Amino acid sequence: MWRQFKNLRTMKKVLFLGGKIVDRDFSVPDVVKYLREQSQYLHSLSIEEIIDFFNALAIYWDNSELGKKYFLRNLSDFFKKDSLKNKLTVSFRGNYSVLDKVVDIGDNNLLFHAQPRGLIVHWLAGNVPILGLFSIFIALVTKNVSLVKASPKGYNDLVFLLNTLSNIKTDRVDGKIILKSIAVILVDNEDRDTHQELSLNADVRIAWGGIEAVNSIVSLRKSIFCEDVIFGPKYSYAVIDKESLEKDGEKLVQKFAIDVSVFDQYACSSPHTLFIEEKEKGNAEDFAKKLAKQLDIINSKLLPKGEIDSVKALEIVGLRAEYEFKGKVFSSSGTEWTVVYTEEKGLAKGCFSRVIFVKPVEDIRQLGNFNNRQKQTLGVALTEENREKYLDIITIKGIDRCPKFGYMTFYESPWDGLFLFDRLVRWISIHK
Amino acid sequence: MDNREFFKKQPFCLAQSEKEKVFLFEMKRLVKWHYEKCQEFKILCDNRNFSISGDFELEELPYFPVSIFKKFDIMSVPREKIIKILYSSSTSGEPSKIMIDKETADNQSIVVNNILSDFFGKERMHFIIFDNEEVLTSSSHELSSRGTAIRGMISMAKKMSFVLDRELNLDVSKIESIMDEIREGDKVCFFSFTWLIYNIYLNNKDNERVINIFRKLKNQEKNILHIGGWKKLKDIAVSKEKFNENIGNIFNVPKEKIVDFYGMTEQLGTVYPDCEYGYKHIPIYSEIIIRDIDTLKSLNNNQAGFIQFLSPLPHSYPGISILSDDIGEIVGVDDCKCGRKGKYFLFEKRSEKAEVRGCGDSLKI
Repeated sequence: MWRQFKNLRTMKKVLFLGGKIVDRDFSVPDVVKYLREQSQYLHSLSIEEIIDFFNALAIYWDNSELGKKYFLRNLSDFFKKDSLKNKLTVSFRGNYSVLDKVVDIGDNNLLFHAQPRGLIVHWLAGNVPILGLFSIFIALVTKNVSLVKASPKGYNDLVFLLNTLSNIKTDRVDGKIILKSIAVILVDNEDRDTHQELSLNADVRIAWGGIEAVNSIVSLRKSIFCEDVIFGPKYSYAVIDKESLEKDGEKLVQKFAIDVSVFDQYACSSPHTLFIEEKEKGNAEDFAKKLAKQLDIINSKLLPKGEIDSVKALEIVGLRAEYEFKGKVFSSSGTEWTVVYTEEKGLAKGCFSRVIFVKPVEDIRQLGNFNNRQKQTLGVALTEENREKYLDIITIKGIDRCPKFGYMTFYESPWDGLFLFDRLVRWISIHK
Repeated sequence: MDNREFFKKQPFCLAQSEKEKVFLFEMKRLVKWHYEKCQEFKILCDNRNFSISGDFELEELPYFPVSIFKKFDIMSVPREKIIKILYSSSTSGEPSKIMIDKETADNQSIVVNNILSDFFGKERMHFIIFDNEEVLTSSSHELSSRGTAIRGMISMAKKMSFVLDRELNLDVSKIESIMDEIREGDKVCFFSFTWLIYNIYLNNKDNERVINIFRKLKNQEKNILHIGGWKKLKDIAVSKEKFNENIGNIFNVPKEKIVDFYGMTEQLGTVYPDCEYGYKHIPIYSEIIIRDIDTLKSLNNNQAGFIQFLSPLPHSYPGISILSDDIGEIVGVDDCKCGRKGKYFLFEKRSEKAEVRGCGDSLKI
């Protein structure tokens, strides 16, 4: 069920249009015209009706085979009614009905209404195709239509999951109709003309991806009124203070092992380095050993490692050999997972593919020196007191999220320092 | 310690079962040597709980990935014993640095001579080298690695003539005069890096003057030996068959006399030319294990994976067990139609990257 397009090789195709899986050539103006026509239907729905629809979808996923897919839990949880209402409330200044009508949200002189921006063009990355679903669904929730440039790797999963919306029908929302607001296409990276057309038609450009992909997208011409939202490229890491290590060490090992294993560390929110404040020398190394055991359990029981290419395998073998001389290495007999304990200062270069560096740190404040806008997630196991003491100073130059262990790779709102819901609407002010 | 007698044995005379006995004996001596003399090798073995004193299978012997020689100067002899440093060719940054003492150099020379003699006979040949002579004296790593390969041929050469100018174009006048010197019955070997000789073909394939020069060689025994792999030819996507056809046509050499020759700077001496049936043979001086890319476990014949080479040849550095960057498979044992005993294998390709770059693809940290 995940591999409908096995033999698809030519790379200007529309894969999903008109609420159906298709496989044919397309013209950008035709697809754009069609999508814009669908915005009427979205506009006719109330936000409560849309929330109900996504709640039904999340329940459908939970009750199907898909509920067993670990990576879907985050998506499903995020779009359940209570969660989505909460995220919308925070994003829309305490009153998300602003998406439906003119409301008073507390300004002395003004009333507000949030209108959709229109056509959202998403360029998705191949590393974590599921993350792209967040931007597509948030576009729907804010009543925007979406043109999605999928990645050649991972589009099968994306289209399959989108198509599950057709199984949902609530009192007011038919999944088959709402899906007409989304088109998924494949375009060669080299086909600059088509990318340019996509960009010129976008009211919002959302780019997920590495530095090359993002640079080439932002270099495309766009309407002066087009909004850009860039997700990536980012680096993430984690820290444990000595109090948390002593109190919750065992639990932290289990949770952190999941953070390292989900998406095989290819998400921008996946940690590559773990800093440990030691109560006594050897604490960090002990944690590294325990983490190794836990990574092994997760690989064999919960999240088996995906396939890797031979260059990555050699990189892992080479890195292990290097750190046998410069630190200590705890690893699987194959290339599945690797824990490197080293006292080298600073952040380790990300190797990905479940390779995690564990380092002792003397002063947690030092972490602030490693941060800039490229650093995204800092997983934290800090006491309340230490959060208060350190997180402000550490995040001055960078770091957009400080989740607890076990939640590092979970999508949240805000993401990369911005509320996506908010970025996909235009605010209309009306005098009282 | 001296294991020269071992290296003087004929390379393909022993069946695998016989070879394994003598080979393992030599390997054990060298494992002990490097364990005692090389701190890095000792760490490698200790970390794997590998005991050098017990009986062990070759598969259990820990290995270094080739990349380790790019990062560290690893030696098993005092630095003053090092007589030369070999650099690998590197298309991706740092080259390997291999520390060679006299004993290693002597053994390399004996072994390469034995292997090549088995393929090309003991009679020395006139080597026409498709390179510039400066490659032998250059200190640049890239040139130095080509120079190392060429120097490896010296023991086989009656004479060496370099036929490319500094820009690596064919010096047509020079090759003309060299060809005039060659007499009927002379044995000639054209030697080059694979990408370089193919460049010469591409630049001269329509040059009648050049084609006619090589047409003059009629009654001489001719071979083409090329080394260095196909990586640099990847962009033009030429198959081995097409390569042989094109090269054979322009240089007037029968296809079966064109020999692709595989070797690693990290284990220089043990070289692997193609036999007339297109296979590479493991001599008694080395052994091959194919390892799965994911599990790193050894694979059976006809399964492709990383090539690991083991050899007791390296004395001054612990390159006795190396995991190469290359993918290959063992095809058979003792039964190649060419008559050579031992394992034979196919080199498939260099490792390739298929990794997707996404939002986790971080910039420099």
